[in-house]
Amino acid sequence: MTAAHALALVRRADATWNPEAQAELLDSAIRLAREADDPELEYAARMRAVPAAALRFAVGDALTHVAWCVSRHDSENARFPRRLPGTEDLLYLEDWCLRQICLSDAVGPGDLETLIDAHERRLGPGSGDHSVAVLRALHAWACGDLVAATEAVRRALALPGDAMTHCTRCTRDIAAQIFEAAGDHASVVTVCDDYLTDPCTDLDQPASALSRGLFAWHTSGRGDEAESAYRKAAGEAAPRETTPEVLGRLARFALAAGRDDDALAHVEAALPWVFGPSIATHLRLGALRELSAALTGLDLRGLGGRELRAARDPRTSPLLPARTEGWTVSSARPALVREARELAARFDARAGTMFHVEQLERLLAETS
Amino acid sequence: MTTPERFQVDLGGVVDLLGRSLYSSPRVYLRELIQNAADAVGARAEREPGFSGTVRIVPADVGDRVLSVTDDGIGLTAREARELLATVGRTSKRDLLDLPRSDRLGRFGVGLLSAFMIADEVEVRSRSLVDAAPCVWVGRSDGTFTVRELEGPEADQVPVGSTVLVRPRGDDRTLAETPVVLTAAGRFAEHLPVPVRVVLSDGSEEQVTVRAGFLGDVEERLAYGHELVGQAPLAAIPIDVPETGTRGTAYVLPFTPAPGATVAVKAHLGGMLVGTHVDGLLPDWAFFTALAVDSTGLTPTAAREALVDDDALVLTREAIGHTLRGWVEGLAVSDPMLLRVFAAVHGLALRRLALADPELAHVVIPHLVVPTTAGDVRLGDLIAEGTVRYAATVDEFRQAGPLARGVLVNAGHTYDEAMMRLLASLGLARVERVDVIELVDALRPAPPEDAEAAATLARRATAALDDREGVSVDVRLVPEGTLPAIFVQDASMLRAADRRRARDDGDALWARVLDAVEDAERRDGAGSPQARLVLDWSNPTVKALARLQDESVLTRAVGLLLVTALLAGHHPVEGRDRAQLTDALGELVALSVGLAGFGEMRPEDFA
Repeated sequence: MTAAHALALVRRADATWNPEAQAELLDSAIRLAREADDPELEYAARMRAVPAAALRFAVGDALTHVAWCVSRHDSENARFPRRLPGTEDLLYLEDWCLRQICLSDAVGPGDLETLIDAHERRLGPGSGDHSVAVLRALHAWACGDLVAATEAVRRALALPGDAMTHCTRCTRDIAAQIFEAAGDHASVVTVCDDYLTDPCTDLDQPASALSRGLFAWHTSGRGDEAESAYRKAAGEAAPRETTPEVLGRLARFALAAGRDDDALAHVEAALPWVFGPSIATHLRLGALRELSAALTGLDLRGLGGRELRAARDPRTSPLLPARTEGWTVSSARPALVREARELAARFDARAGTMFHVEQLERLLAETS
Repeated sequence: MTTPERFQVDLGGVVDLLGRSLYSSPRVYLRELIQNAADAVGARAEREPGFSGTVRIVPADVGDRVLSVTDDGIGLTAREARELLATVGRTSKRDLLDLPRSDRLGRFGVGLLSAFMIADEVEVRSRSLVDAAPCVWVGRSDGTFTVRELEGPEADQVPVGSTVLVRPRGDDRTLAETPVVLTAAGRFAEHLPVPVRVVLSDGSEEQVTVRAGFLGDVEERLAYGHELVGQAPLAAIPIDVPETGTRGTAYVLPFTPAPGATVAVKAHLGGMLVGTHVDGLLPDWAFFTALAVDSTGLTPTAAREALVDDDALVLTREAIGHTLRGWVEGLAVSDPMLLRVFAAVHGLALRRLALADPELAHVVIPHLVVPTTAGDVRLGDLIAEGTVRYAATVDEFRQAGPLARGVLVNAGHTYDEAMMRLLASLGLARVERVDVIELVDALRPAPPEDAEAAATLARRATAALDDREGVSVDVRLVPEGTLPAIFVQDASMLRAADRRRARDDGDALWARVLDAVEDAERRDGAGSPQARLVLDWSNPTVKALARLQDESVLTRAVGLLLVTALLAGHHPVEGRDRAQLTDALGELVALSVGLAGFGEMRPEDFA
């Protein structure tokens, strides 16, 4: 009876489009399946719960379900196959989770290497080569190993995607980030040009990828295209967890173009969206790096006294704590710079490098 | 210089393509023939104001194995037949007949071509309204045709107009026989302005065209809606979009459509049916309505079974959306009771509408009904109180309900949390999201004279639940409490517990990853997940517990209270909880047996 109820909940979740409602149904189904001691049913529910968690960007929940499913699959792969009717491939889901933790400072580099190796073994030869190369590039980048990151991302760009690939266009976004960090502006221009010919349609991905090319296009004498990409990216930035970093970069570009009010507006727009799950520290690092640089630029332009209205309410602007006198550009700047430095140092401490701290300092110096 | 060459088109291949790819069914050949006939009648009426023609169909089983479609329209000369009937891909009829562009003209060539889906040969006998000899055009599926002018007595027998004769192939004969012809003609040509009659085997005629009820008076519209929807609609809203010559009626469904269900959207062009579930006419938020319209300004797709998504369709859709919004807005004044019924039946659609249209939200929101601890309540009544308090998930609502003072909204259903935020952003009310743990903290403690006893009980009970990770016991006064104990936990508690189980079940590497997640959340200040068992000090059982000296009895009693609280709060019950309940029942029976003196079995036997 309990198992039947759990199965009914799984079916209801399949017919539900709202990810929150879906997650609630699947959580209940998982509990009932455990109660009924029915691991196959629990597996089916958890396999469905991963995309539901991913849609909510609940990385912790997705990791919980994937960890459980991968363990079951590894122990009895016939009983717990990679794919069930109505679910994604388990290794496709695992890849999504690994992408998130590759870019987090919370998991040790050694453990991540082992997890990626194990993932590659499960995939087998000839499958998921593109996605594994992307994973290795992200991991190397987060560890500050630019040489390995560049090599891996070039390998990914040269490989066609397959069923395990989330999006080959997004690979260009990642590549642009790595090439930019490496100071290889020509490659940034190439991948961003490629991206423009075949853009992604996923929410704020276009804004992110377009914003990567702004400075490289400008440096290479293609100011009009940079301006056009800026306007397009500003129009397409959607309210998502990855948005603050993009808006911060747009703010820096607006500052460089002398449009201080636009820059301030981008910073204001970014503040309410600096959420993201606790484990996804790269989102916070990216946001802090870009926003602290933008605030530094604004402060030095004499806009230090301008109030950050979006930071009035700490519930909607969690990067800055509540304070009675409110936040201005000049009072928020040191707070964000300090937090950015602390987080960058935490990332670097994992692999014993200075990569992220240096990236941050370079950006702050450029904006000054 | 290279001489341009023409594509070689194989008629057989084109016909096959029509049958397999363009049209949804071969029976649409009849629609095409009727459309051609109706267009010819229309063209004659242009020349002779006041003329009203007829289309007459003789099915193959009535007409010696030949289906005929006869009109008394404008007719064709031999030259016109040669040019028009074998021409595909040119809007030739419009130019040749000089008809106004607003008229929905069939394309003779393509229309006639569709007849080859059921026949190898098609014959057209026609006499033009202009003074010319009648003619016979015979086309074949091999792509050839002949045209011959008639003379003498043979010519005298041909009246003005055209007759198309189709001799169906053996396999397709039923498609040209009375049952299919009556059904298909009735379906496609139901509202054509030209009367269409089918000749029956007894020589009588059945007219398949009727007046379009959705364009009639109120009674007719409602009657049409009843048939379209299957029940009396809640309302019939007239639709008029002069820019695209689109008129009809939108029907408000008297029931909530199932998710994903397709609602009837019946579209006609010049009275000829396009489809019964036509996309693009209704805004996507208007899933509470069915629609029936006729248009002269929308464009059909090549198969004439859908509408081209062009500017005219966008304009029409927006105008229909505007009319529907205006209707909802007007209801608040003209018929508040109907608005209430409408809000109850189509709450989901209205929520979506309100979220997309803040102006309309002011009108709609007060009439929306939300589930609360006081039953279903109108948002307008809650707004009047000044403050609206809600639980964001069904789980939180179940837990918070017994603890909340005043009315608490269950905003765990689709769009309801968004509606709560909308209330706040529109300034309609002060909106508070409740947190179950905060609600517990806000409950009054035991009175001063009992404070020490209550605190001791809380401490002893917490120790009794030592094996329940993260559960602490509070002793409070629960207003209007009916249960001795209530169990509450924040949402992250359940997920943290699940993560611990996944960690225990998985390998060491993934276990470290899950530990890292937990550490990150802790570092991020998310706070430790909390679960509380709240004992109601006003309940006599709880007061009795405080007097218990025997720790083992207290441990069992507290365990039982936890299980009853879990059950009452719809929380998941684990195996050990069920075992505890069963043991307790066994002990109760044993105790009873022992006291009655029958007792080989005593309570300690079950210890």
